[in-house]
Amino acid sequence: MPFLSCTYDRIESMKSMTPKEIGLKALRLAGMISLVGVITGVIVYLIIGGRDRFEPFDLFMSVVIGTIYSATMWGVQDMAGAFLERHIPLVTKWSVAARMVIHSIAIVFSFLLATALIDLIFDPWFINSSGTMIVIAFVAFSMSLIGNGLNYLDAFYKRIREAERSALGAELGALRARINPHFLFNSLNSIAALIRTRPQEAEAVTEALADLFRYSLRASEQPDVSLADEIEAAELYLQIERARFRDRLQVTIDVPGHLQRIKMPSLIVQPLVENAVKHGLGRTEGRCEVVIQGRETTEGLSLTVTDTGPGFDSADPETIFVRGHGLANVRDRLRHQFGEAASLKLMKNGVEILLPVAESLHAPAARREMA
Amino acid sequence: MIRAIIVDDEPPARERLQALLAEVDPPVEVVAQAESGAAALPLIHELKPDLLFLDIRMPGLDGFDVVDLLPAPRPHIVFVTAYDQHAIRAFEVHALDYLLKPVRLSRLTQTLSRLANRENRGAREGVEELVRERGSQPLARLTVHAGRKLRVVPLDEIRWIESRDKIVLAHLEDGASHPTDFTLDELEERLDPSRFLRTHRSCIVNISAIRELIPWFAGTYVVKLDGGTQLPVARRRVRDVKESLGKRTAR
Repeated sequence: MPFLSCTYDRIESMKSMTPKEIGLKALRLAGMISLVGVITGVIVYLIIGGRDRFEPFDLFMSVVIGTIYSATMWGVQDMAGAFLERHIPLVTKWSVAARMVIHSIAIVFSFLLATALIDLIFDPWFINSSGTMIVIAFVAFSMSLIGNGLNYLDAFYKRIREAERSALGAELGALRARINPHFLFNSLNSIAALIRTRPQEAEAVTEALADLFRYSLRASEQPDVSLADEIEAAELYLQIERARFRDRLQVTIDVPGHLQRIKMPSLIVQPLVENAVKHGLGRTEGRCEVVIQGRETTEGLSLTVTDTGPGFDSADPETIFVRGHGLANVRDRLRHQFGEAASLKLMKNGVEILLPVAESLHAPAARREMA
Repeated sequence: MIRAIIVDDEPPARERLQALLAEVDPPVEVVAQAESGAAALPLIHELKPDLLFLDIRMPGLDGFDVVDLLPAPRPHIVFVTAYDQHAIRAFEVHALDYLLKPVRLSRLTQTLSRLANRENRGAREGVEELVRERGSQPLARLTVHAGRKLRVVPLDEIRWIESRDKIVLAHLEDGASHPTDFTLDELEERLDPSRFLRTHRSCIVNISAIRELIPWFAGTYVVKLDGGTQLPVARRRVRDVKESLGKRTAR
């Protein structure tokens, strides 16, 4: 008995409600049933004319019968709804259609049930014409169909929106800032190479790697950090790469002190530096310098990471921002967070990011000096 | 004692390999380390090691480029790589000796003992095969002998290459000319035809150095280079030369 089991579910779910909630729910249900009953009754009274003057009793009876219809049909359809909710999930438009069909059958059934009930209670004096029947059936049917249809479509689109939201969540998850596994692999290789010949350096690299991963793990809980934190993470990264490349990797960091407190998303600078090391140093025989430079512009913060390597092969961003590329990931994360307000631009020998800055850069510094 | 050269752009990797080579029995003497392919080639030429440990991923010349440019007879080559799947496939296909980073002592010992027992003649043939296979790819640089040194020259710096008395001479921008181990036929095949042109049985010219094409006699021509040098164009090659030059000006 699926219907009964659904009803049982509902009763079970009511157990978790307070008496006040149950009362309110019942009151609201009764109100809705009566409202539909009154509307049906009045429509039936008005349409089935032939009365020369106002007949209060007829109107009253119409309303009573309308309410009986309303209550019976409401009850049956409520059960049908619970049944459908459980057995036909709203996944495709076809499931919406299937629910509508089953609901229509339930409406016809409930209408017949209500008619039989009224026939039982009253003398069939009232339902004396097929016209009355048809009007009542039509009103009940169309109201129910419109109501249910709207409900279903609403639920259906809500579900689609939820799915979209979770897809977006998954996409954001994929974009989540994380350390490139290739870098971890190379670092472990460096450590393995250093342990035998330079154990102290191996220790220092391991510590820096741990600090960098701690920063990366913290990034998932604390998405916004200061530029100073970002520079520090980039320095950890560069320290590790310097163990690998030694003097070949030269580093210059030029970020004025008053910019250091600017808030920004986590793990933005490190991927840019990694890109410079990979494509600049990685394609330069001998030394290569990586320069991190922070500047204040009218729009906010300009941060450039350049290298003295051969530069980008092509000015075509499409070939550089391939999916999964570190730079593409940074660009997409900036876009998610700031929309058009932030940007990532390719320069001849590196990358520039522009970030909007919420607060004035100078005011808090002045306050701090006063304190 | 086996004499080896280590070529890797990462100092810790070189140091580790050198340390491991001191531990193996019998020990291997590392006669030199090089941080790039370009630095390695003259060293290999000069020191003539028995064994070469060659990293694949390096800036400039990578490991395969070094093999391409290395004149025979080559030392025994053991390739070293961290994760280059493409390279590993090439090693497997040609049955080459290779080590994965971080290099393990046990694996190194195994490779060296195979070498001592001459079990890996296959690897030597594999290198030949690899070079032949890569022969289809255009060269990016040329190795020339500068005195006792082997020099790696970017192709832009070469103005023309000629064969004279069975010696192939590359004439460079700086006015110097150095012999190379490649034959003109090999070079014609391996140099990018949009940059270098075989004008004569004895001559290959860098197209960008050509200034004039002057009719000579009996249907032959000469090309005049920017420095005034004149080089012969064989009658049967005139058409090719004109086409190449025409294409260039049309561009």
